[in-house]
Amino acid sequence: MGGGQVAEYFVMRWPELDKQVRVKPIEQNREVFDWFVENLPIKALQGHTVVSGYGLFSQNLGFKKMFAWREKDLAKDDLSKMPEGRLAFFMTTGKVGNLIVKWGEMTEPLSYVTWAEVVEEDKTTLAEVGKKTWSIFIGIEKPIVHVEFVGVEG
Amino acid sequence: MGWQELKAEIDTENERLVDEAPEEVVKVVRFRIEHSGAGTDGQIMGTWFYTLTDVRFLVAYLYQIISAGMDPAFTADQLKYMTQQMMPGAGAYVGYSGFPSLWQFIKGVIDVMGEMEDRDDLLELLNSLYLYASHINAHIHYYFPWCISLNYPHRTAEQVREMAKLIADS
Repeated sequence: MGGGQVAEYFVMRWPELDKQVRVKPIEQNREVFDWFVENLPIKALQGHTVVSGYGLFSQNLGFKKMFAWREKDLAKDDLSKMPEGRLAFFMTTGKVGNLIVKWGEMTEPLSYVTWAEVVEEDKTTLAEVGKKTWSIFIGIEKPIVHVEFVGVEG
Repeated sequence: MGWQELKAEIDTENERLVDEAPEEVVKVVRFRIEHSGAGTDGQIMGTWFYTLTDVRFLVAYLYQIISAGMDPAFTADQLKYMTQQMMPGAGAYVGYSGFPSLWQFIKGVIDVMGEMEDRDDLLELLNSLYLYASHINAHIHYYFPWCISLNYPHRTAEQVREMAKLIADS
């Protein structure tokens, strides 16, 4: 995004899986959403949570601009209760982030900073990506899967 | 080596590791290759348990140090002290047991930071190290053979009752 425009959504895509979803801001932490959009494009390894339930997990997000907030000062959601499709930051500070995207049931009753959500129409695609990623993760062969976050022009 | 030169070296690796897996992760986790002899009696599980969790500790330490650094109340000297105090133990250990490049970068940062006075420069350097350690940690998590866990599902109450019966009957 450029020219001071406010983004209504960005795209999360998995080139190796040939899938993508749109991600919109939510009712809280809009400033985090806007900051994230300013950092696009971002590319990371697409992992999966192995304790908390069904969540896509990226642990090597690199940012151009500092994440200047303290996580304790931002609104949070309980991972086990929040809607599927919601994005949560974990151990995010400075120029590095960890991101969980809930795509199915999660058991971890702890709260994390949430700031975006996959649009309703794309949640079926998100679940397909989640199932595929988990099957790769728990499988013997490990073909690499990346996730890319791009602006609407990307 | 000055801090800018070290940072440039770490940043070059960070760019590469967005697309490529770190060689040390491929060796230790994917192919169970250890050049240091780590792993008593030639088994890999000890290294996986202790070394891989120590890499994660290092990531968590950097998160805490940089989080403190985002608060202006923490001085450059305090950030240096935290880094010098928290990073060398686990850093040297992972350096011995499969991740010498990570230890070299940690050691390099500790060596150069003594001469650094600008707090923002220090944070930039620590962020580069945080991202590098995060790339290593993310790839460890990816390549770890989680399929092993399929052999260890949670116990059910029904299984425990059956076991108790078998023990009682024996």
